[in-house]
Amino acid sequence: MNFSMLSAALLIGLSSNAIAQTQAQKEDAKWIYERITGVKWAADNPLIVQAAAMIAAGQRAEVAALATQQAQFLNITVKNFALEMSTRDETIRLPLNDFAATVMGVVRDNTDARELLYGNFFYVGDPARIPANIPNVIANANEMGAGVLSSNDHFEALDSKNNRLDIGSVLMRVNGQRLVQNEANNVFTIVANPDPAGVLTSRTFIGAHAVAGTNRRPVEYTFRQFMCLPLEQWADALSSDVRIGRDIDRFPGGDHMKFQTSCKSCHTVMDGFRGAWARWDFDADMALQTTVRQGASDGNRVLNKLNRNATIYPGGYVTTNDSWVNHAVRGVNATLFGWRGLDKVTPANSGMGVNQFGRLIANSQRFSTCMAKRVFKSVCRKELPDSEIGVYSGLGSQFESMNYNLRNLYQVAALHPRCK
Amino acid sequence: MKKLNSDLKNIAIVIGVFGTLSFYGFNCAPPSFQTMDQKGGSLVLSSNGIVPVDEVVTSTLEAKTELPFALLTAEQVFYSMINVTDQPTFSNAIRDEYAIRSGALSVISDLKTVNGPMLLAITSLAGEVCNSLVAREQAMTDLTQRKFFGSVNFTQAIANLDTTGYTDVVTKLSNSFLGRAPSSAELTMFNSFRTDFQAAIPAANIGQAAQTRALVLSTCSALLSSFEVFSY
Repeated sequence: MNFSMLSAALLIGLSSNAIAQTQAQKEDAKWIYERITGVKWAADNPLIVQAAAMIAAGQRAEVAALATQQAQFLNITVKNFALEMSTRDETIRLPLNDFAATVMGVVRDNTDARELLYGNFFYVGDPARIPANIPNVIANANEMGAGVLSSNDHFEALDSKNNRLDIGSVLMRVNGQRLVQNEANNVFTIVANPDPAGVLTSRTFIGAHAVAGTNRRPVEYTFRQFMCLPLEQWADALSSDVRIGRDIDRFPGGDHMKFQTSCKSCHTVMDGFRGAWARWDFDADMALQTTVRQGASDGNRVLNKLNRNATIYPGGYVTTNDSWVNHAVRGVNATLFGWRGLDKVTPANSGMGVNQFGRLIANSQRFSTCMAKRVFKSVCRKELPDSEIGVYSGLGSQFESMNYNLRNLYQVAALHPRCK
Repeated sequence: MKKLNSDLKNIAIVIGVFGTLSFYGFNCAPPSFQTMDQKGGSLVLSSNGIVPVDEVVTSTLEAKTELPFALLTAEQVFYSMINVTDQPTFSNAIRDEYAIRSGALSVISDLKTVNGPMLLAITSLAGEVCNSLVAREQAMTDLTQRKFFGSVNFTQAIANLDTTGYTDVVTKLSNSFLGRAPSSAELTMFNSFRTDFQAAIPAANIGQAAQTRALVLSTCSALLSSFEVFSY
C-alpha cells in the first residue's frame, strides 16, 4: 500500500469511526502542520480535521508524515532551509537556485542526504511538467548552458510567482553533473563534471565561495553550513602547518608569535583542506574546473590563485594537485567531528578533489548532528542552549538510522518534546 | 501569563484594526482598492441565510497560554494568507501586491525585527488577499456556499448588517485566520470599530451598498494582518 492509499484509508477509517477529538488534539494537529509546512492553516481545513482525528487515534507520527507530503513543506520549509545555506549572505531573500533545487529534490525523493556533498546529480524543472515559456534545458544543450550553467535563469523562472508552480513536484533529477567547456555566441560545449560533489559543486556554491580569493572560503563555508561550525570553533594552533600556503605571512608586523598564536590556528586546518578546491573557480558566471576549462591555472591545472603572493613566505606550501589532508584531528577536534573516513568503514584523513572531501564531511558524525540542528531550527523555529546539545546528537543518530532521510528527520524533529 | 498573553493579543488586534483604518483613511492603499467593482451581486439576506457560528473551533483567546516566539518570513506570510483564505489559485493582483511588499517582510524569524514598514506591508498584502476573498464570495449567489460572508448582503446599505451578522463574519474569519474563536474583548472591539466605521461615513454615502463591502473588507484585512497570523 503506498502512502496516499494509506492516508486515504486512514481518513475514511477515522471519519467513519468519528473519533472524538479534544481541543488540545485539534491544536496539536494544527501545530504540527504549521511547523512542518511553515505556513498557517485554517482549523477547519479538511487536512487539519483529518490530522486531529489521527492524533485522537494515537497517530501523531503519521500526522507529521502527512504534513511532509504537503506542497508547502518542500516549497517553503525545505526551500528556505536550503537557500540559507547556499550563499555567503546566508539569507532566504533569494530566488530558487541549483543548490536549493537539489536539496529539495533529495528531500522529495527520500534519497540519502549525504549525497548532497558528493553525489553526481542535480535537479532542474521537468520539461514535461513546466510551462512552455520556461526553456527545455534537458533537450537543448544551449538552454542548459544559458539557463543553468551560466545563469540562474532557469531556477528563477521555476520560482516566479507568474508561473505559480509547485516547485517541489516539477523538479527532475538529472544524473551526471555538467560543466561548460566552451561558449561562443551562446553556443555551449557541455561536458561531464570530472569532480562532482553534489551541491558543493553547484553553480551557486562555487559562485558564492570559489569566486576570486584563494579558495579557502569553500572550505570555511562547507564547515559552516554542513558541520555548523564557524572557523574559529575548529581552529587549532597546535596542528601541522605544513599545508599553509606561501601567501600567509609568518611574521605579520614582524611578529612571528602572532602567526603562531593567531593566524596559524585557522590556516592549519583550513589550508589542509584547501587543495581539494585547487581546480575550482568561478569565471564568466560559470563554475570552472581546470581539467575541463583551463582558466587561470598552471601546467598541473592548479589555479594560479592557490599559489599567488609566493614571495610573502617562499617556504610555504606549494599546491601542485588537488590533494588534501585533514588536520582537524587532534585536541578537541579529535572528538568534535567524529570522523569516519570517506565511507564510514575505512579510516582516512586525506584524499583528492572535492568529491572525496565531500565524502569525508558527509560521513562524519558532526554532519548528522549539524543537519539535525538545522532541521530543528527550521521546523521548531528556535535553537537550544548548549546544555541541550544532546538533543541534536540524538536526532543526528536517528537521522543516520533512517538512512540519512531528511524528510524523516523533519518529522522526528517536529515531534520532539523540546520542539514545542 | 494568561493576562499578559491576552493583553498582547488585544494589542495586536488593535494594531490590526487601526492599521487597517489608517490604511484606508490615509490613502496608503494601492489603486486596486478603488478600482474594484462595487456594484455587488443580487443577494438577498434572509433570516436563515446566516450560518451559525462555527462550532468546530471552540478555543478561546484565554485558553492559549504560550507567548509567540517566532516571526513568519516573507513567503510564509504570503502563503499563510493564501492558505487560511483558501485561495490556492491566487489572483494577479495578489501576486503583484506581494511583489511590491515582499521587500519589507522579514527574512528571519526574530520577533525583534518587526517594524513599521513590515506591518504596513502585511496590512497591504492582507488587504489585497481579502479584496480577492470578498470578491469571490460576493459573486456567490447561494449564501450557503459562502464560507465567511454568508450573513452579508452586499446589495444593501451597511445598516442592514446587524450585530449578529457582523459577529458571524468576525467569528468565521477568526476561526480560519487565527485558528480560534474571537474573545469577548475582541468582539467588543470589532463592534466598536463597526460603529465608528458607520459614524465616519458621510450622510450622503450611508445608503451605499459599497460601504457594506468596505466594512467587511476592513474587518477581514484587520484580522488577516493581526499579529497571530504572522507569528508562531
